[in-house]
Amino acid sequence: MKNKNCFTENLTVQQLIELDACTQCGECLKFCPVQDVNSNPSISPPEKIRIFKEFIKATEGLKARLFGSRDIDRQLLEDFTKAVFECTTCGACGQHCPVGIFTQRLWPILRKEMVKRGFGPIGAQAKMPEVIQNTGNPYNMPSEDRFKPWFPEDVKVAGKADIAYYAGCTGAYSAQPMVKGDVLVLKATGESFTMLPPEEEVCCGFPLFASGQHDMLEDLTKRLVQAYKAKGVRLLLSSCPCCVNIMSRDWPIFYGQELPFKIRHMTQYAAEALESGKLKIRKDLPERLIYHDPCYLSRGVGIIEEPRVILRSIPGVQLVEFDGYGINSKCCGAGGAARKVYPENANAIGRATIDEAVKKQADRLIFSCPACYAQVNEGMLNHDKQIRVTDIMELLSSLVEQDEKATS
Amino acid sequence: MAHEHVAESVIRWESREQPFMQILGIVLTLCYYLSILALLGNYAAKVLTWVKSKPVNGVKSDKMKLKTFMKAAGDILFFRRLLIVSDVLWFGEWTFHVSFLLVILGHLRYFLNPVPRLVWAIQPFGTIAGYVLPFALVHIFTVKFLIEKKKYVSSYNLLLLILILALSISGLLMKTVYHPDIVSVKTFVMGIVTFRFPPVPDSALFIFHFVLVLALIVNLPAHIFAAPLVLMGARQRDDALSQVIHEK
Repeated sequence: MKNKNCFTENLTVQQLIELDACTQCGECLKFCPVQDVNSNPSISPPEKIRIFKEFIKATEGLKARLFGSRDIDRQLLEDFTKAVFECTTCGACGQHCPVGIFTQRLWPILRKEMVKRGFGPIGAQAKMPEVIQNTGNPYNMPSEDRFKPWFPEDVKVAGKADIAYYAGCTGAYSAQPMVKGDVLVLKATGESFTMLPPEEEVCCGFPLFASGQHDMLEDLTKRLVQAYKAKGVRLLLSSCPCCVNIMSRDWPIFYGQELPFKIRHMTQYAAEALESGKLKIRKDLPERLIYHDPCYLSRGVGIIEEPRVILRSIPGVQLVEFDGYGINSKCCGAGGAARKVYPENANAIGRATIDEAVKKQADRLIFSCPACYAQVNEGMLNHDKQIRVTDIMELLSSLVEQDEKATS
Repeated sequence: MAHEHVAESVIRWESREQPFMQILGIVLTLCYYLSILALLGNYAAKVLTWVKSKPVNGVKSDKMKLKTFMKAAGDILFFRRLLIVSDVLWFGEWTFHVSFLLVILGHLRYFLNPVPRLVWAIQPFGTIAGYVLPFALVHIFTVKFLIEKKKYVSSYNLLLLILILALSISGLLMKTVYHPDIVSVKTFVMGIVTFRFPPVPDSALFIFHFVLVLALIVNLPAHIFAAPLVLMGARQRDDALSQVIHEK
């Protein structure tokens, strides 16, 4: 693709206006986790926006329209691509933007533009479509190992049910205590639930969306939606914030209509079950817990209160908060499919989360996201500060009464 | 009082011949039209890009509720989001934007004949705002560069800051010390808006001020128009966040 061609094909009118709305004030740099660890203003949000506007100006500005567009320097395009792919897409910049630019959605679309031009994705991300095509997950793991290593033998999965559980690739392969906790909590509620077979439970599309590789998204969405529809599903549950985010925000677009079922995060379902009495906590936990809000759960779909409802309902728990919590939460370093491409950034950001949790004298760091869970565990390796890391469903499943009816 | 005489002769080009001022008037008027054309052309190019942009398929855009609209209007008028992020910078930015708006509204008296009552009524506020404006700009400059020592500094923002500071200082000087002939200023401005190519007033300070205005028109930031739209969308999105997967 020639670098004279327009750069706005993938952007909506709202996003184009957002680019013009950026005042270049630089306030967002105070909240950017990548800036916290590498302090390079050339990859900052306002600079990325300024450069992308220069691309638009060179190809579609007044001068370009009157006298023809000019070719853009390849080095500039490469530098921009690196900058836009180094981002964790946590959306903290947009949350604190004085004009409210929705950056959590903008950055993946700018990545898509650079992928279209052949500049992105970067590193291992480039193999993702092929790997997902072959194995159904972005980790190149065999589909037969998706559930087998962690799925409790005593939990029964219905062939058809109103409720379905989607484990997700990161949970199934990298955060197994979380997914095991999910199914144990589901079992404890006594509700019948279904799952797709491991070879059919393919990637939700999020890592492809985040890395700007959108070609397979429609196909993946339709495969999954139709498979759940065939099982008579009315409610689809998942513990992965990224999966829940793309399912609720983008699947209707790729599916072409409203989904035939509702999407809920596991913490929503568990909080409701605790309130309705379907779940009963039978143990005390005299510990000081600190909960980390995943960016795509809090800023992404507004799940902030439910995890806290669960933690506060545990007798003996003292809940403490990070300085940036709820909608203002800080990234753990795993976001934006950048974890494996920029591991130094990811580990440094993850360690900042550990350091703050240790500083606040928490006994345990609680997550509700498999990527955060995996990243912070990775960041803990060879780090001077250590803290016990637990997923919220792993914790809850260890404290609730198990419903024996659901046992096969 | 010799120095006053020297300063006065620098500011007022008394010795200039009328034809020179006439030619300069034509040049500046043409520059004004060109700068307006450049501004409109840039916006037209933007609108063309917006028009052919990608539609958001499959998602119904919710109508904005009155309550959300009112909150969005508050966000726009009071820069609420900036206040949350930096109250010190907010003070300077809000004061600057309000005083700049009042100064511009006050300047409408030069462009309208007869001058509407409302424009006359604004004049005292415009005058006060004229004094406040440079202080607000200095405040912004101090916060950004001396207090917060920002690591990201936009050269474009710096240019705008210097441009508007120079505009406000030259305007204040004309208001307080080196008064140009107000009748010839009005004649010149009315001539521009009625396409009559009038002679420029014989004040170097006025010409400097006018050239700065032209530079500002050409460099007018698009966020003036785009930011309120985005703020409305942000408020709508914030209010709808709790509904994303709770109510569907």
